[in-house]
Amino acid sequence: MNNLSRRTFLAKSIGSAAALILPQFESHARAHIAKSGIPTRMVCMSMGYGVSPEWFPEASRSTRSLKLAPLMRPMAEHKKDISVIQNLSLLGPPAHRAPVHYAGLHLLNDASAVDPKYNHNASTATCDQVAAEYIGKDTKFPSLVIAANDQDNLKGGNGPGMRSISWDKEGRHMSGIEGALKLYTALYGDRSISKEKLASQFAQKRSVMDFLVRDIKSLNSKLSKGDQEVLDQYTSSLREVELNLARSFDLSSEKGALKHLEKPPEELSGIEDVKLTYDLMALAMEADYTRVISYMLPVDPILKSLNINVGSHDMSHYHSSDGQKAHHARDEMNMEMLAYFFDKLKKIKQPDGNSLFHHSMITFAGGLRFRHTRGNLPVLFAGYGGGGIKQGLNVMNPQDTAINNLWFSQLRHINPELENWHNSQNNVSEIFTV
Amino acid sequence: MKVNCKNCGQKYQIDESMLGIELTCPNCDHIMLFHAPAQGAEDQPKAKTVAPNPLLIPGNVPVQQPSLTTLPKKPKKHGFKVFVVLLLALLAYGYFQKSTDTQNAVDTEAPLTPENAELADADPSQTSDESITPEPPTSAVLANDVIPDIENLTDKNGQLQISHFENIIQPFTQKHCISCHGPDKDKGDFRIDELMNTGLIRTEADAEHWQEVLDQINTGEMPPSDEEQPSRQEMTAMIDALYQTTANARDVLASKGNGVMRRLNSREYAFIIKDVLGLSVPEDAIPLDRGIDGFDTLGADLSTTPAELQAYIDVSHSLMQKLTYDYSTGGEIPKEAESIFKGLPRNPTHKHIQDLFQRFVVKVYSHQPVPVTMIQDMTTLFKYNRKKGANFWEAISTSLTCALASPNLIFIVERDVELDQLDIANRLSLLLWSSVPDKTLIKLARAGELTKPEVYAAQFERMIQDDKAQRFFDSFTNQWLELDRLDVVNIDEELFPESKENEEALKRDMATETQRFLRYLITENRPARELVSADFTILNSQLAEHYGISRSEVNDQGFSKVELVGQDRIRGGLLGQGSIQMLTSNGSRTSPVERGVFILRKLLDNAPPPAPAGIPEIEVVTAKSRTTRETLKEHVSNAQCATCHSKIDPLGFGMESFGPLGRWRTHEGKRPVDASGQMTNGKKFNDYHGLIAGLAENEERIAKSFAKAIMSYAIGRKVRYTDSGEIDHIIQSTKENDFRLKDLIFQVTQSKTFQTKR
Repeated sequence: MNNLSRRTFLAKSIGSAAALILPQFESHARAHIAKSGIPTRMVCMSMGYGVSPEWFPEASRSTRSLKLAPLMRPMAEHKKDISVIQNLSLLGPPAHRAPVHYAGLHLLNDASAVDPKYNHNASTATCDQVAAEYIGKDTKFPSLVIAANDQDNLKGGNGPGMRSISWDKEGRHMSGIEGALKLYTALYGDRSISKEKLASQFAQKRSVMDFLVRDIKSLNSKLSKGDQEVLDQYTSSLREVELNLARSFDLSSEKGALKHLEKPPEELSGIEDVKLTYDLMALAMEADYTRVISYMLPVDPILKSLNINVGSHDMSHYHSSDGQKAHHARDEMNMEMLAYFFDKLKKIKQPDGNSLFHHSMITFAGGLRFRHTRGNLPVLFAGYGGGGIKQGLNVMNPQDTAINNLWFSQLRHINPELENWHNSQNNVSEIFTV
Repeated sequence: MKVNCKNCGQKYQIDESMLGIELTCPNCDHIMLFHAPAQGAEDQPKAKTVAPNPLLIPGNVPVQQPSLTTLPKKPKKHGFKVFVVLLLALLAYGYFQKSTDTQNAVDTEAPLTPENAELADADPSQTSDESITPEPPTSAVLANDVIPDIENLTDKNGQLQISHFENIIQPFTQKHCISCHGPDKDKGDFRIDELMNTGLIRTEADAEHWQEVLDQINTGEMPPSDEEQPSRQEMTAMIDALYQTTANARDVLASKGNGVMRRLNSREYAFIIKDVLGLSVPEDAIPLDRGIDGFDTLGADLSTTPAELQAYIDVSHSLMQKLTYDYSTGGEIPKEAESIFKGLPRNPTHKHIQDLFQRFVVKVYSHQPVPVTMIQDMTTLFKYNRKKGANFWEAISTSLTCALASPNLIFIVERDVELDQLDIANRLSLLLWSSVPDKTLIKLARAGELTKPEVYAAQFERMIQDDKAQRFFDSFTNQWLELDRLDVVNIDEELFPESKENEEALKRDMATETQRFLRYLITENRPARELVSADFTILNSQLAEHYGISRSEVNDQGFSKVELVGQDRIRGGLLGQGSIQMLTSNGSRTSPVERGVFILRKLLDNAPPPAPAGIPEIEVVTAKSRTTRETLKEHVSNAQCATCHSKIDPLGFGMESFGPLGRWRTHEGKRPVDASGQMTNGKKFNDYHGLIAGLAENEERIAKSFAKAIMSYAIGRKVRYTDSGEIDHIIQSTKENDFRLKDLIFQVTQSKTFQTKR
């Protein structure tokens, strides 16, 4: 359907230039694509609570080659392709009265360090969203924001009420796609209905948008400046809802580049959910549906599917007698599942003969170190970003180095013009060699 | 520098900070402008080039015209004054730049009077004398949120002086405060030297800090008893000076409201749909709004992300599809929705359709003016969708969806700072029913009767006794007391060797006790002190058994009120309830810290600052050999911890007689429990009863904590420093009659803060 004519129709018939508020989205962005012509992918993951001390490779005075600590055993096969970057910290002051329960709140931007007036409602964009601006604009999903299906009140240490670890460029907390099943539907659309029916449904939904645009306008004129700013959120969200709608129509009506995957069963255990999420992330990147992903992992569902009856909070405190055992099992399972993800990515070949893994930058980190301490976080970094990245290291930074150094390094890797980002002091030069 | 008003000839003394800024003559309101002699200007106002649009001129910031009546006395502060003025000018410049689009049309036509012409001089660049101008503000300083702070604080001199700064406050703090709260130590993460740096109050945060200083001195917490004490005379002078300062700051800050509209949270939206149309919004259909730090009504937390908007649209659409499907196939529809379809003939004309839309919109928007074009637009949309091949009922439901997903419904639209009666009715019903007002309320509001004192009181009473008030009791109680935290407590199997189902049932019963208890206190209008000390509670037999209360006194049919006598009296009050005891434990051990913090935050209106970053918690590895209390001794031996924990822990110790599952205990392991502790004013107590007695003496603070929580929940934002006058008023007006809880809520709804948008 021709968008413009539809709008024109409404404008004429309703008697106002309703079409003016929702401009067509431009896709003028110059994608930053590596020399090979193959885009770099960026994946940022937050595991919630930190890890047991037995996860960290031994500290040394300087950067050495990586020797896996006991809880990293499942990574043996990937040892040469990953690094642990030590002593990265969130440097901002606690932005909340219970900061230690908000490990994922600003893991991806250290917002309170960037802006002392920071609060959790007006943050600044997270690194994944900045990357999406650089490399995501031409893809179906400029970024995929995924949040685990975690019913825990503290959402596995990422923070009560946290719906993702991403903040959009307007500083709003983004709602992630919750769990593998919803991710499946987001990627594959609903193929159960006929094309005609779909088109008709789509048209109806589009017409709702047009109505609401007009409604916004009439309301807006009556509001104070402060209220208008609140309404602006509605407007910009509506714009995005419209884009999403168009996308889901495309996905549902035509077979995209996405490889087929059987519709998963309704009931998934915590581990199955994470693994399927990894499958879908790999598929989405393979089809170039997206190049940027953030993923907030669950903790309690993983513990549950390991048959451990310890809550994630108590696990992280080593509270009950089984706390330590639970922590170890979860840390190791995380590594096992991550190794599974890396295996997948390594098997996907790109046109230049290298793997998708080679063309990716993957960070697996926690916003707490161990128990509830906020400094010197567990950070595993993998992939080669298409080249120019060294791996297999145990990188020793000085104590409390800004974690934004790592995000900055990755952003600069895809946009060499970037000179600094937030409070980053340096590139992580041991790894980012270009 | 002496100057004359060109218009009336009145002489004035001004100082350098007033140069280059338009001043209003207090005598004749003439606007004048003076320049520094160094720049060759005379001590006379003079007209310069004519500005085409006065609003575009950076210096034209009427709000902070320096007053000529109160002459600044401290020349050394000039730098800052100029800085503030420049900053304001820049801010205003940015603001007016932005708003020219809308204002241009009118303002360019403003007559060019001499006053207008003079404004052309108000260019800050003309006055920027390097010697007195600090660094230009960086862009960070220009962030939006700076604007209200400074504007609010601007008195007639463009700043707020601290009263008696040099003669009283400075000497006092030097002598009694700075050694602990200064460059050498910063106990409690608080440095008074930083606060005093400027001698000015620049932001609301500054004002809050000074209030805190006043409160600490007033309550006798500071200076600590083991330090040299100020003389009575010193003390009185200091308190007077601080009192004056904070009162001034409050006035200046309160002069401007900045409340903004908020979105309905998902809970309220669902209740409204239920009340108005009888339809149930499926659980999980809209992402649950949980206040990240506070109530789910706080506008600041209610952003509208694409995912949320999508959910509102989708859920509206599916509800309308179902409703129209049910109606068109002769199925059952809720009786609330029946009237919408009334009189719809078999072959409806467009007129019939429009009438249907009208009935629908009037129903859904009963609580506010119906958006003017909405019904017409719905009809147009219907025609459009029909033309595009949608079937009749599809097209109807699509148009109905629009009315439900409209920003007019999703946002709480209040148009003026002074709320009208309908707005007030709406606020009342959002507070007590989490929904829109009913017919009675709307009728009264439309007739202008609602705010008549006797009507208002009667309606409030009716509403709080209504079944729908259960929504308020549930959500307020759960959120205020954070009862959801019970879910994350993992009960130690050794302590509670029963099934997971029993564990969940126990937690549920505990939460229910607290909910019912609070509901009873409020609906029966009991005094605030009963929050900590009541002679009853509300139990079912399972919980009674858990507590060890004789079952004969407990009704077997669910929860009922139980009079408490003798030892059972410990259960009378929030701190005696299993819910609070358990959520301040971790399932295997109690946490006196959590308990102390709970008491301070929820009952004493004295929230401690968050724990500093990077401080590891005390190891509990050796816990088996020590009691919890002994473990916490480290807090006091470690200076870094002691400042706050010497206030927190001794309160929490008072609850040590309750184990982690809320059972009374005399021993922890084999060691006897020591529940002695200390109130924040240093008063010692020996056991739980002593703690409760100490708290009961603080009933005013308890009332204040409660009133502030209600206020925040009711107005959709945090209670700020500027509200403290209203809060004090609420407290004082209920004092006579023991701070009764329903009275407190009623007073909140009668306050200016509640009835204005700010």
